[in-house]
Amino acid sequence: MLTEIKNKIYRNNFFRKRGYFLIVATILAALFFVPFHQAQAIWLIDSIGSAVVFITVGWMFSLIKAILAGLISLMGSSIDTVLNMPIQDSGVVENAWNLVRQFANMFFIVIMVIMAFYTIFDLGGYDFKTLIGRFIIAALLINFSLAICGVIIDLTQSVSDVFLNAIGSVGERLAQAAELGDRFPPGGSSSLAYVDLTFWQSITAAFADIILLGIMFFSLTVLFVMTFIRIPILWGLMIFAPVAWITYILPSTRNINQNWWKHFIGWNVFFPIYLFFIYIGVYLLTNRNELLAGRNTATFLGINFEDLFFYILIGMILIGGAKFAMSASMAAGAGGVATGVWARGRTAARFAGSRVPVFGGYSYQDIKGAAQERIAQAKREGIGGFGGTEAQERRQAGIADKFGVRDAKEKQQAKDVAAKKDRLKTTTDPKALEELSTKGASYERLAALERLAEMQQLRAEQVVKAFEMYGGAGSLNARKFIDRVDPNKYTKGERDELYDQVNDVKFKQKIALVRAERGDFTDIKEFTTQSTIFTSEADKAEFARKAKDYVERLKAADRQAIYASVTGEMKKELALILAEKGDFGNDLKDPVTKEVKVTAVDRIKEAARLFDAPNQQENLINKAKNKNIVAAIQVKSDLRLLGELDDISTEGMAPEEAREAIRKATVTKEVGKLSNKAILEQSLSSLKNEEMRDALVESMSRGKKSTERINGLLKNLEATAEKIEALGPVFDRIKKTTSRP
Amino acid sequence: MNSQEITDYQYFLASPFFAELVDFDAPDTKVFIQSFCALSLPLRDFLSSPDVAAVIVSLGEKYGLQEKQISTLSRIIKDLVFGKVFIKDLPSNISSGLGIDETKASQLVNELASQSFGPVLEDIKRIQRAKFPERIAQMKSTPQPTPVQTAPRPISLQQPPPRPEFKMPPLEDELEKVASIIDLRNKPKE
Repeated sequence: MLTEIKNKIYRNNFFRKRGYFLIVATILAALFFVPFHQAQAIWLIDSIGSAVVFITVGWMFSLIKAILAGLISLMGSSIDTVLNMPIQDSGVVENAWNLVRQFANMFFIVIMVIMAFYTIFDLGGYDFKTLIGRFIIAALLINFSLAICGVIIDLTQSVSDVFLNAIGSVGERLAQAAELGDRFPPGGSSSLAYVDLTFWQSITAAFADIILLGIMFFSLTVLFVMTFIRIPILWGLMIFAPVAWITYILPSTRNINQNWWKHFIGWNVFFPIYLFFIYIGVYLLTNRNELLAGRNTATFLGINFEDLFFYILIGMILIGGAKFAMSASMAAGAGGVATGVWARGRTAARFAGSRVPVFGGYSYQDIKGAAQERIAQAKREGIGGFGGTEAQERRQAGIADKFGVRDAKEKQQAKDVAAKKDRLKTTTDPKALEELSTKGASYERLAALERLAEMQQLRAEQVVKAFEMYGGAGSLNARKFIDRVDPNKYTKGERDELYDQVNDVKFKQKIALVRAERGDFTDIKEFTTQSTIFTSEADKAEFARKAKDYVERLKAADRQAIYASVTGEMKKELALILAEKGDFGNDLKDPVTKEVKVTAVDRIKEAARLFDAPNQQENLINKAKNKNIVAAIQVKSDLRLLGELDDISTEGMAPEEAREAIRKATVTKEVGKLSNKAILEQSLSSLKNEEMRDALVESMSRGKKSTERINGLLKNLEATAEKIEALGPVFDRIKKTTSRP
Repeated sequence: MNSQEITDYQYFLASPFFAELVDFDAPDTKVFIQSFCALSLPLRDFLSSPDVAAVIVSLGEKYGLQEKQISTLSRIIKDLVFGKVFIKDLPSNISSGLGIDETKASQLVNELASQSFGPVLEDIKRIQRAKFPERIAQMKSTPQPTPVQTAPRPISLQQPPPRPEFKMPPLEDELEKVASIIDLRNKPKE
């Protein structure tokens, strides 16, 4: 059975895990409780054997107790020494830190080279813009890294001091634990004669004391080890603080920096946390008597279980506290690093977004924006005439041009001019731009000229100059530039200069149109010559349309001469102008014989036949009608453009007769609709026509208010003596038609 | 201006523009038309207006004038407008031209002036000043004449009716004012 129990105990994992100490203790306890209790009946043999065993065991327990008490005492004084050991003021640390710092400083050069390479090759992450901030911070703070460590240590030490002062001398306090050795004092003698239950109890109490002392010793050992190793660890971290700062710069080494901070903060924070647990443990120990006084405690075989549990609790606090302090401090270190990273991010974000003026009235955002723009400009334009993407592109375009790449140079020129012009957009002083247009690179001068053009300040000779600088005729850029020049903005002399000097047909045509609109022609020959610059019929027609005012201002003979000299669409446009002016309203007579060579009807008809569409023909005839209504209606009749009239019945008439009837009725009707002004306008031309006179007399006599009509004609401002004379026959005819009432 | 409806015939008879105008191709007519075109618009309107012609026709009928006399009256009015007749001489011109006594002529002038001269009064004064500066100066130097009541000149063998006392009607006063103004006592600065 005993063997079975032993085996059972051995197999039990719990006991295996707790080590041999507990196994031995359990075996001894089993030997003590079971076999000897039953062996009391076999008095002699058993009592002798028991006495030997008990004496031996008791002696061993006393020895173990003494050793543990001594060790605990030693540990207490050691802990006192370690706790009061200074960390900072160490010559070793300072010298070693200096060495490491000097070594770390060398890496700044390496980092600068890395930054330069990344900046030159425009690679992200390690370029100047990204790293310069960290670089400067590291370069500054690396020299103060030891002092920064000292500050942090002082900070945590001041917290630790609170607990240390409260605890006092740890060794002294723990010396009180010597009492632990007699916590369970034996109740009887160890002599053979008194080997009885009391003796058993003494043995048991001694065993309990050993357990208690073991717990205390273990706790103090942990305390000693942790406080002891903290010192060399912190020294090491302080010595390598410069490395932590240098690794702060590069993104790939930043985890080293973060690890350093994690451990440094962790080992600093560990101490006050652990001291807190020590403080609790020591407090409980030193106040045990007060805490447990007057309690009815359960005892078994002389063991006060409350005492036992009390000391187990102390052990748990001291050992568990060490474990908790370690994990909490490392977490605090990691948290500290994370907080640092977060805080830096937040600060940077806040700072970056801040519009608060901090640097001489400018916010960080202002300065950052300006700096970025300047950097971008430097990248684009280079510094001091060197470098820059623009210069590079220009060189590239130059080479491409030499290689025969089509439009390469022109495209680059356009790009350069546009970029430079954009930079000149704030320059609004024409004088400054004039000056800029005379110096610098070609594209810079062109940009200044473009700006002047935008401001409508470009003189004619500058237009010519810019056109040539762009490459003249055949250059796309020159073409585009000249397209933007409005000849209307120039005087006649300047337009003439532009016309002569700018060798671009489109531009010449543009000037020709302006000339036509303004009538910038010395004679009709110049006008007709100018029209030859246009090749398409549509352009010629537009030219004639633009010249309408000019043509109208000409003498009738000049108009006729121009009309006779042109063809196509231009002739059509001129025909409309001449019809409106009444140039077709008169018969053409021989200057000598006065014989009619071409009648007004024929002239209008000829002009109308220039047009194909009936409505266009009618349009021209209607224009001519204003000056010679009879001839115009005759032409309408001849061209079958007269419609039926409601009040004229042509029934039974031959077609010719019917047409004539309609024509006559139309003439009368149209004349009847004429205003006084229109009659006066036609008086010099069509009133010489008898049919017109007849129609007018008829229309005026038919109305009841013929006298008012006559009065209206005579008092009209348009009524010149000549026109009134022309109207004389009409008045005479009306007078003759009247009769005495 | 009270006017009655007149026929085209009467218009051509009584309108100052067409009065005694026979041929538009005649040299005199050409001169007349040139002068007509030089007139102001109100005067051109006055000379060719059917209303003025109607007034003349109406007065002619009232004073028992023949067509020829009406036409002559219109021509005298035209002469007045063109400055061929001094305004002070208008009654005497009408009297002699129409062969009526001066009193009747004066009455005719008064009525004519009251009915049709209004819109052109200023223009007529201007022309009179320009055409008859000496006469106007002479009038200025002599005292303002009082209305002379001359004995009626017999125009027929019949006993003339008793001459009515010459009273200056309101618009005659206006006409007189024309004459008196024309004497340039209040000549505006030229």
